[in-house]
Amino acid sequence: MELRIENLTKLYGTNPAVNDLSLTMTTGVYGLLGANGAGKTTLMRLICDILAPTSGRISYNGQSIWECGDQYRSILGYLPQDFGYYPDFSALKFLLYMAAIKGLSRGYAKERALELLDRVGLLPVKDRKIKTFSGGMRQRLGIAQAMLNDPRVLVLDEPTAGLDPKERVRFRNLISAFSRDKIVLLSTHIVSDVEYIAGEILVMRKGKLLHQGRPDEIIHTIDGKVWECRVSDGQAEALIESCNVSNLRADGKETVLRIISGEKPLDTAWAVEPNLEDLYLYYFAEQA
Amino acid sequence: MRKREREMWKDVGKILLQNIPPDTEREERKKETLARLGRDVRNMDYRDVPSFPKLVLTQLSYFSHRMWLVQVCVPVFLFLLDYQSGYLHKAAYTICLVPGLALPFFRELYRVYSHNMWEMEAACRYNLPRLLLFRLCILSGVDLIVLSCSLAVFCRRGGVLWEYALYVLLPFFLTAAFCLLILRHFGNGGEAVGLTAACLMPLGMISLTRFPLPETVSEWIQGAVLAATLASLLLLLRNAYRLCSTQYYEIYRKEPVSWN
Repeated sequence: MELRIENLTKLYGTNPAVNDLSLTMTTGVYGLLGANGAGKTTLMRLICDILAPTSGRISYNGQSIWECGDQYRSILGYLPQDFGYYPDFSALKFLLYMAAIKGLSRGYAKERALELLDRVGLLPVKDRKIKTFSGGMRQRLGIAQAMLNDPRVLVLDEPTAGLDPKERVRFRNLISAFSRDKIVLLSTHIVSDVEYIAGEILVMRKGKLLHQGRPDEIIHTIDGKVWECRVSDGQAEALIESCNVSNLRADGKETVLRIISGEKPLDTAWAVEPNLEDLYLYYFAEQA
Repeated sequence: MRKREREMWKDVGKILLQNIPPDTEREERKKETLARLGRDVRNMDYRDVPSFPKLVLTQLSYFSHRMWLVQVCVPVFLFLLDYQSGYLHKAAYTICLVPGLALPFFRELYRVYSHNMWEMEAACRYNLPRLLLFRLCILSGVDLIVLSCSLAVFCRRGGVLWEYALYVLLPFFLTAAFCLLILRHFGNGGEAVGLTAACLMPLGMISLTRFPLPETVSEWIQGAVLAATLASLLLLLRNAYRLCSTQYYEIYRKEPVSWN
C-alpha cells in the first residue's frame, strides 16, 4: 500500500499553501507538524480529494486519486479540523447518515456504527441529540465517522483538539490498534500525541516539507541546541525576552530555564536531550 | 446467493485463472504469486452499489423538518385565502409561493455549508456534487408537487396558465437558477448573497404585480411570457447540471492565515 505525492503545489491567489511537495507514505502513522498557515490542512484536503491542486499528482497504489474518484474515496476516512453537525441528528443517526453517503450497506452500517460508538465511549448516549454533546464528545463522534468504512487511508486534522487527557489516551490507543496495514496521517499541535503514536514525523513550513523521519531521528537534528540553566528571577526575565525559552520552572529562589539556541546562551548553561516539543519550537519559534 | 455476490465470485475466479499456479517448490515465487493474488482481490470493487432511487432516498434525513412544514403550509394558506375570499389573489401567489419555495430551496441546499458539514461530506464516496444532485432530485420532486397543486387551484379559481407562469413560475425559476449559480461559484461563502437573491427576486416581482394587467392581453404577450418561463426553466436546469458536474467548489478561508 502506497500513497505517493509528487511535486504537489496549491496556490491561493499567488500564495503557495503547498509548494512543490513530494512525499511517499506506506503503512503506519505519520504525524504532521507545522505552525498555523504551514499548509497542513491544505495538504490534507488535497489528499482527501476536496481541493484540486494547481499542479502535481497524488497516486494511491500507482493510480491517480483523481482518476480513481469514488473508488479512492471509499477507502478514505477524513476528520476535518473544523466540522459541524446537523442539529436534529442523534449520534447514531449521524453515523448511519455518514455511512449511507460512504456507500455502506444498511445492515453493516448499523453494526459498525454501534461498535465504533462503543469504542469511543458514546454508546450510552447514542440516541441523544448531538447539539447536547460537549466539544470532546463531538470530537470523538467525528473520529468514529472517519473510521466507519474501515478506511485504508485515514486523515485526521487536529483530532485531539478539545479532548481531555483521558480521552487523548483512549484516542491514541484507538489509532495505534487501527493503524496496522493502514496509512494514518494526523496533524496536531499537541506534540506529545504525535510523539507517542507516530512512526514517522513530517515537518512542514511555508508549504514545503522540511523534515521527514522517525521521531528519534528528527529530534537528533537539534542535538546540542537545547540548554538548561539555573538563573535568578531578574536574569530569567531578560532571557525570556531575548531567547527562545521552551520551559521554565521555579526551583526555590531561582528559576530553571529550558532554552533552544544554536549557541550556549550562558556560561553556566548545560546541554540537555532535546524532545519533540523543543523541535517544534526550534522550527516554529516565530509563529509560536 | 445474491446477484452481487455471484458477480464477486465470478471475478475471483477470473483472477485465479489469470494468475499462474504458485510454484510450491520455490518459496519466494510462491509468496510472490500469493501476494499478487491478494493484491488483485483487494483491488476488486466488491462494494454494494445501490440503485439511484435508493441513493436519493438516503438524503431524506438531510432535510430539516422546517422545510417540509413550509412546503405544506404555503399551498394550504393560498388555498384557504382564495376559498375564504372567493376571489383569486394573483399577487398572493407571488408573495407566498416564490419566496416560500425559493428560500427553503436555497437554505436546504446550503445547509451542508451553514452546518459546516461540507468538508466531511466532500471526502465521502458519494461526494458533494453527487449529494447535491440527490438533494436537488428531492427538492425538485417536492416543488413539482407544490407547483402542480397550486396551479390546479389557480386554474379552478379562474386563472390561466400564462398568468401563473408570469406570477409564479418565471420568478421562481429565475431565483432558483441564481441561487444555484451562487452555490457553484461561492461554495461555502455565498449564503448571504444567495439569501438576498432569494428575497429580492420575489420582491421585484411583487412590485410588478402592483401594476394591474390590461383586460385583454394579446396572444403575442402571452406567448412571450410562456417562452420566457421556458427559457428560465432551461437556465435553471443548466445551472443544476453545472452544479452537479463541478468537482470542486470555492473554499473561502475563515481562519486568518499567517504566511510564515
